[in-house]
Amino acid sequence: MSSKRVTNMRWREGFRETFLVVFTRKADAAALRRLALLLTELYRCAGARWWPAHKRGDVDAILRAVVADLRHLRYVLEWAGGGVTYSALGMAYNRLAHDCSGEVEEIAAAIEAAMADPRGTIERHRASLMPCEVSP
Amino acid sequence: MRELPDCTPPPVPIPPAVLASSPPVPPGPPPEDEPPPFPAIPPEIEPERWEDFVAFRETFLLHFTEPHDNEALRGVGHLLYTLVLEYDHFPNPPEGFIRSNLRAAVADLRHLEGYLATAGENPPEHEPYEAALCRTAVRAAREVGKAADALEKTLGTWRGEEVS
Repeated sequence: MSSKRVTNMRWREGFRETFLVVFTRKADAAALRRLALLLTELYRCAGARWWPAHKRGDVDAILRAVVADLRHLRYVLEWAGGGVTYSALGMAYNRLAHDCSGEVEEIAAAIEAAMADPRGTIERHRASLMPCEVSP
Repeated sequence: MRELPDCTPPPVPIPPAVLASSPPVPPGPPPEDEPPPFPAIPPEIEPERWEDFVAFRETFLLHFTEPHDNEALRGVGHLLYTLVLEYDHFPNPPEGFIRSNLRAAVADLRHLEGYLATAGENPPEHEPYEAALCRTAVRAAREVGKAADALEKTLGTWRGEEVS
């Protein structure tokens, strides 16, 4: 990516937390985080124009990646919510994970809808059909 | 821990969107007389295949636009995942497995919240499509933050400490 967007170090960590959580020895997870940072640094500094650019621009590619990550997170939460448990607390966590997976899917779908309609035509049309007192 | 399959898992199917051509290429700059390859793009993740995308964030793989590099990293991630599931000498997470997974989901949501907010900063004035995408990113960052807040609030502050 040639964009200067998202070059902040905080957002460069490569491994999912839902993956690193399996590595319960602290040094292992720290080593993997470090490795991902190193890979990014090497790749980005190797030669700015070696890599093909995203065809529809950086922001479009960023949002598509975010949608893919949200969908992945949704499936992890669905999986976590489907576990077998016999304790009340465990069942509460299952419900929580299940509810949260629905919220995450709504966000992913909203991003996709906004990308398909960047001028907000559908949103404006929907707002115009709403009663005046609740119209934004 | 996630359940191990009864047999050796099949190799990760490479999303068609990721791999545009098949001949192996050495790492490094492409020859100048060749057109650049079609870049690797984020895949659509099918629910039943979520474990094929388990290691690296798509927001990280996004930087690796050379399709073969992108594919190689996915393969390494899948290998690490298979190995870690086979290795059973890790200590148990103090909060228990389900709470630890939910904490990890909160951490990933926070990452996406910050990532989206950063991506949406300073929408370009003369590119209306990109500007609209930036506004979408900022709005989505707020929604992701709310989802993380709700999950975090329910989990509370206990992190597995001994309760006397």
